[in-house]
Amino acid sequence: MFLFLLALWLVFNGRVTAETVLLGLLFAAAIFAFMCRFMDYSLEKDRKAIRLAPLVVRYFFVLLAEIVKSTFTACRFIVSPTLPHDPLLVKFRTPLSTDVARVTLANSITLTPGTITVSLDDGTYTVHCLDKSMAEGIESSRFVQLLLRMEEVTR
Amino acid sequence: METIRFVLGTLLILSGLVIFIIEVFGNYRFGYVLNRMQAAAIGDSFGIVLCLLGTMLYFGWSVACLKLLFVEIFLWFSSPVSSHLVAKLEAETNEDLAKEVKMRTQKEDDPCKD
Repeated sequence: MFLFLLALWLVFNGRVTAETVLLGLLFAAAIFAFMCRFMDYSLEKDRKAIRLAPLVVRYFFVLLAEIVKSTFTACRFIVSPTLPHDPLLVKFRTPLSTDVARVTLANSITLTPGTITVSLDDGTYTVHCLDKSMAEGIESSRFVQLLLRMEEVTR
Repeated sequence: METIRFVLGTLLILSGLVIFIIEVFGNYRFGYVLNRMQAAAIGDSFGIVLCLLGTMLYFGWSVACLKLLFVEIFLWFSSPVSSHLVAKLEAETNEDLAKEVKMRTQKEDDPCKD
């Protein structure tokens, strides 16, 4: 997290000089101390996050692929004059146990065109789908599998 | 090299624009809020990514490119939250929800059950 803050500082500064690096170190340390004290961050959690990194990158690419795929599906429903769409509200449960994983899944579902998370209540998702076909296998998607593995790694 | 980058960037931005046009078209084509939001979500997530990628290609490998990447990540975190809030409001306040959409509950052990 400390390194991430420093990198963020340097990117926003736009150039790497001794001055910006020193100031960046100072501010990154201050913000990191604040986060540890008040926002429930710690070095222990950082170590877990680093072990998680490859999975997070993979998750990002899976998300991108899903978005591209469903964008074309949704565009087909919009453009085609004859293809009827059949909206559906699906309720399902997932075996995810941590709040972070649940929220990430809800966010990913909403981000994917054609599906919107209407409510997330204690592990029960209510998802609105543009068409029935989009609801197929939604409770055991690649997102869920990856998130389950992430939960195992951090445990 | 410069030309290739220009052409690629232009192509990306143009395809982003096409997706935005489809989105606006869909917004008017669908009659019901939740369906309209689905159309809006297309541009929110994918159209904006294509546009920003095109802009990143224009800038080349520089700090501005990284900043655009941060913009993109921030948008991806924030836009689902707002669309979720609108959807939740609609679902909780509309008394005739069942007329507009079919509802279905899926069980973990039997995912294909209707």
